[in-house]
This record gives sequence, C-alpha cells and structure tokens, in this order.
Amino acid sequence: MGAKSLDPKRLQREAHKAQAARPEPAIGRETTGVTRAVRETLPVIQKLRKAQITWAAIAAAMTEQGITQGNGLPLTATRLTAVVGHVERQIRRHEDSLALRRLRTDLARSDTETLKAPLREAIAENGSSDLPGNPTEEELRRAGLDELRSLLRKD
Amino acid sequence: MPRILLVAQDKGGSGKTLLVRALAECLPTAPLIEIEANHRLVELDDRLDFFPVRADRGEIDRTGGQAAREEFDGALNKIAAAKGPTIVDVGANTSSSFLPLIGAARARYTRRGVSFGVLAVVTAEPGAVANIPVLLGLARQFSTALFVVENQVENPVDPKLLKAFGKDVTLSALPKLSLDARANGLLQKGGLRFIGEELAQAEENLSASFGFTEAGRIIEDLTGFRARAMEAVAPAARWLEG
Repeated sequence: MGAKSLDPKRLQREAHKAQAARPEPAIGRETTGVTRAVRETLPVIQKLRKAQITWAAIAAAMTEQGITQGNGLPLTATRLTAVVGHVERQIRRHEDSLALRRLRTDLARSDTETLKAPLREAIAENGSSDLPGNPTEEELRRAGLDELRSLLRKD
Repeated sequence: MPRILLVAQDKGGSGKTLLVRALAECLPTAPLIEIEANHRLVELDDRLDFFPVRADRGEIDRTGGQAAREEFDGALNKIAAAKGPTIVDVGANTSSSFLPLIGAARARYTRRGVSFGVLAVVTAEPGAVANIPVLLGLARQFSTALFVVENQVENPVDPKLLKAFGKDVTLSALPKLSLDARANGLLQKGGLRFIGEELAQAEENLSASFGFTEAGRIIEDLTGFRARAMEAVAPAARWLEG
C-alpha cells in the first residue's frame, strides 16, 4: 500500500473551514452562571469597586438580576470575590500564554489571539496588565484565600 | 450611640492587621473600615469598606494640599454614618494624617452621637515603641477610651516603657506563640475568620492532605492562636460593644 499524499491546498481550505465552524474560544472553563456573568461584566464590577461600592452590594445587585449560587441561594460577597479573583487569574494566564505565543517566530499571528474587548478593558482599567510575575498585594492575598478555601472544602 | 475603635500603629509589621482581625472575631457583626495603601482584609469583604490611601506627593503639590485634605473623605463620611460599633484599621504611616482630622471634627461627630476609642499596637521594635506616645497624644484629643496591645512576637516590651504610656491606657498583651509551619501558612492565607467558621468542619480534608496527626496539630494551633488574639483585644472589644 503506497503512502497517502496530502493535498496542501485542500488542507488549507478545510482547516480554515473547520476553524470558522468552531465556537469562539473561551478563556477558562464555564462552570456556573456566576462565573460567566462575572466574566462578561468584569469591567463594570471593577468600576463599581473603584467607586467604593462594597462587594456585598454588588453581589446583592447581581442576585436581583437572577445571578445566584448553584443551589439557588443569593450570591454572597465572599463567593463573588472568589469568582472575580478566579476570572482575573484566568485572564492573566491567558494573556501570558498569548505573550509567549507572540514570541514564537514559528507561529503566524492570528486575530483569534486577542482577548475579547471587555476583558481587554478590564485588564487595562484595573492596571493589572503587568506581567503575571508582578501581581498586586490584593491579588496575592485573594489567590491565597482561594487556595485555602479549596483546601478546606475539596470533595 | 455608635462607638468607633481606631486601630493604629504607623510602624509596619507590628501585627495591627492581626488585631483588627481578632476584633472582627470578637464582634462578628460589626462592620469594618480599612484605610490602607492596599486592601489586605480580603476575607472580610462582606462586612468591610476599603478606602485606599492614594494621594501621592506630586498630586498633593499640584492641588495645593487639596488632595491630602480630601483623601480621607470617604472614610470620615463612613464613620459619620455608622449605626453601631465599627472597627477601623488605620494603615501604617497614616495615623498622623488621619487622627488629627477626627480630632478637628470631634464636635460634629459628637453631635451625631459618635464616640471614639483608639487601640495602638506596640512591639519591642524601637520605631513602634516611639510611635505610641505620638498616637496617644493625638488620640487623647477626641477619644473616650485608650488601649495598647503589646505584641510580644519578637520580645516583650520593657515594662517601664509600657507604664510610661499613661494611667489612662488599658494595657493587654498578645504572647509570643509558636505555630506549626503549615498552620502559619494557612493563617497567612485566610486570617482568623476561617478558623472559627470552617476549620472544625474541614478536619477530614486536612487529614487527607496532611495526615491525621498534623491535621490535629494545625487545628489545635490555629484555634489556640485565634483565642489568644481575641483575648488580647478583649478589653477594647468590650468597650466597643458598650
């Protein structure tokens, strides 16, 4: 049996077609409605925090709009801060990964290698566009708290 | 009549934030105000308002001091609106700017029924010791209760120095405690709140992660540490409760 030959033009055509048919890549895994809602409204949440609106007030406002915990209970400030910290870390990891890809000369640049606009704004407005190696004190504390919670509550 | 307890020490690393956390454990429904360069009390977000200290020298110069005057407006307004006992964490290098503003507005706060106490933290570190008379001098202009907690984390403070703080000061001490290294790591991550609320229920998970014996040591050390910290601030907590 002879070796199969690969038609390069067909490969290019079908790869583009397959890529177009794929859903837009998400950052991280969508686990709950809260995570999705936070990801979509992160810039707004960050603006509210800058305006010194409490986490509890933001959580209550989100609950008003039907964003609750998985068990249907109202969203709490503690849960909200955990999810926001989680999403911010996902964004930074994604940015880091993109930055590494940009350094690779063997990879062509692609429009899909950019963040969604709201997430770009969130990073810019939060002043968190630093490299992942330079997290703020608050980010480090939130990350530590998340680690602790997962240790205490893991199944 | 709302009572406000300002927790202060301009020298960083004195254990002030730990004592604020201990007060938060003593009064689990009391709101907190954090005036700091960085938000540290992240585990208390659901009962806390954070006011960043953000005016820098350049901004102050540009605005002819206006930026400095307005820097604490948010925190001062929050205090004026207090409905009950409130704990205020005054960040390092902030007391000398913040306390005189309380003093200047004393009469107006009094008309609103707000009264103030100040808890200062002292360690054996000379800078921390030297800051106490300064803090107490400012606090005496508007406070009805003064507390100093001696944090013996390094060494005990010279008793003569403690005595010199004044007869109107209620003294208490946080003894030096040795913690299991892993327990200390958890304390750094979660503060004191999880110890009271979650630690006992997490025994199985901790045993699975660290083994039965170490999990027991972690729980015992952390529970003891929280209790000691709460004892150290108990006089101030009793005043705050009224």
